Amino acid sequence: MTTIPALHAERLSVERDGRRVLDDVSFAVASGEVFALLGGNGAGKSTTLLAFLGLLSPAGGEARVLGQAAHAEPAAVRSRVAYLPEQAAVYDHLSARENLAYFTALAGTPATSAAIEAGLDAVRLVTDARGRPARSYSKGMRQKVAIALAVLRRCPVLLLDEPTSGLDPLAIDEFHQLIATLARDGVTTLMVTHDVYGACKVARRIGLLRQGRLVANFDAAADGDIDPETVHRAFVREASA
Amino acid sequence: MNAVLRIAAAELRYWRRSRLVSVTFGALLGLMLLSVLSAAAHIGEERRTREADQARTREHFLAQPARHPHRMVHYGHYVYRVPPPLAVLEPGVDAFTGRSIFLEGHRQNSATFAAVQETSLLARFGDLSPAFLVQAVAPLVLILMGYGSVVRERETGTLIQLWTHGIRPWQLLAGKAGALLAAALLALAPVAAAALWTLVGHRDEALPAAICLLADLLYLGAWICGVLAVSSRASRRWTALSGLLAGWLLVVVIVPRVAADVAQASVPVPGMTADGLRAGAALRAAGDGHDPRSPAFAQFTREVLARYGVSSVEALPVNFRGLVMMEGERKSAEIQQGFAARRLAGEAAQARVARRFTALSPALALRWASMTSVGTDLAAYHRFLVAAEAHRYEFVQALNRLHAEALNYADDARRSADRTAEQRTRIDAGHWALLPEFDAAPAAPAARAQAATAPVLVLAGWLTAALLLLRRAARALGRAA
Repeated sequence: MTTIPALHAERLSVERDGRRVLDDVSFAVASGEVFALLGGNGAGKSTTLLAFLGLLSPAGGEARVLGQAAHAEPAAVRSRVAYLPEQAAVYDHLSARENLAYFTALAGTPATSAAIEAGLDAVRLVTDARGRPARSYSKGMRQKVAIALAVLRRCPVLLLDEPTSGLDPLAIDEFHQLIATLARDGVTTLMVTHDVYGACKVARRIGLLRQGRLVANFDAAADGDIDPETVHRAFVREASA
Repeated sequence: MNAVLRIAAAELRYWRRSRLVSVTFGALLGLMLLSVLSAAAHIGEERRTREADQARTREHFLAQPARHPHRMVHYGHYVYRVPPPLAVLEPGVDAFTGRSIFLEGHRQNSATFAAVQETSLLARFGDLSPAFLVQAVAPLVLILMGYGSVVRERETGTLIQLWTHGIRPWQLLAGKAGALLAAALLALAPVAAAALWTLVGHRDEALPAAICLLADLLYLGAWICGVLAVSSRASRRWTALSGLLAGWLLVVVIVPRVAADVAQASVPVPGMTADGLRAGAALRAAGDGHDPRSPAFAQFTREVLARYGVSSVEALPVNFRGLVMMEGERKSAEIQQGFAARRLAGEAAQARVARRFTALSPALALRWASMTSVGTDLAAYHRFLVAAEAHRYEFVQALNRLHAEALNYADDARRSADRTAEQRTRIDAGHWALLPEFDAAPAAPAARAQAATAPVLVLAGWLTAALLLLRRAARALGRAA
């Protein structure tokens, strides 16, 4: 019996404004695995995430989430996916608690106050900040709110777009620990990033995108630990090719 | 609570926490309350004053002593235009048109004492009627509240979050529209309260009041849909705001101004003064009723003598001078009424031209609907002028008839030279009761409601067009979702 991958890009091609931005990309991410997609600007990283959210229709191939085609069944897919854009999208005028209450209610799974506090505890958001409007939050705090939302919604899949850009080293470390904790709990993570060293630290597999094509794969299981220097050299080589 | 209500509630919460929106909307509500209270007090006072003035001027007429009836023709009488009860909602042309007309023999006078003639320019600027606030200010506030409704979510990235939480574009737009509608209803609450208060004493005005409020809702509904459609399509908040403000300027300021100018240019209407000058020659040719020997009445004299079968005016069983007065009044009224009819028809034609611009401005359609339904439009003013002229002609001719039937011709002819003859031409003051009560009530509520159907349909058309725009915007959002 074969296990269905949590995320599966199968010969995925996407066009935007008449231009092919993702070309015949294939990869699979197993349940509870952290997979990082590296690439320069315009490589197609964010497009891949949008395709998995069903927000972009493929020109060819498929993006499947837990066996369901994202473009064909977007509502079903989105109910099982949490998405964190580069700027964690929370409402500035609402507090962390209010953001979580609002989004979980919209998703049809309203969270109790106790559950919200537990979610915020899980991401270690300082208690004092929880009732303040999010406009006063740092980027790291906003990301914690967004991840707490994923925790509360019990989403089995997490899509992260440049999650560590702009974070200080301490916040990056804390963030990586959070992702590792979620992975241990069975959450599948697809993270797109420029951050080679961060990717090597948190992901067990890494794919390298260049101009919409997947040009290299690095697998910790096969190669032992992923060597950041090797990935970095490949990144620079592909970026300047 | 379903998603639409949650989104609406979230939008209301956003506004409560936004200083700009709180202050702007609070100002609108305050202005609305103030204007309704002020209009209720003002219109109530105007109604009481003009009704009292009407009664007083009638008492003065009836209290005149025994006199020659033609003296009473020139003593004259004032009639007052009493604003309709629902003028509280829409004063219409009331402030710009005369409140009263002095009625006398041989001439049609202009309505005088318009409110704008008696106030300074600054006072006029401060005259914010509830109707003006709904037509001009409420859309502006809805723009300020709603321009960022959707584009704000796009800019901050929460739009994608909403899609990933299973929200559909129509749910988002319905929630945002619901919040704006709640704000619009709250803003209209003082107007509705004023309408209900008016209905306490005037239940028959229920239908026009309902139509007036329906027109307000259709108008603000169209704005809400338009604001959300623009906010949905815009890529930046400033783009949405500048586009909507340009639209507001066009719809509320520019098109109504252009409509008035085009109407005046396409249907030139001479004023009453110009008409008076042009009528002068015709009136002189028609003869002066004070001069029974005027050649202008030669034919009339022959006809009267023939009708009574006598050979001289002295042999007539009635006072020939009174008959000439009646004939002179008939001829002068016919000439002046002809000019007045053309002038009123011209003004009505101007209004029809201006109404064509309702296809470009729902603000014009709303003004048309509300003024027509409450009875403060040009047609209601024309109705007053026509009623006043009919009233004038009736009481002047009644006095002339007294002149002809109650006075002896010989006494009348020499009253200037013979004091005792003059005394005999004075008739008893009890005759002055012939003055009829003046009644220039606006058209019946049902008739006004029917007349307001056309502009209400125009507004419904605007709302439909705005809904179609919103549907297109929802589809565009759907493609991104």
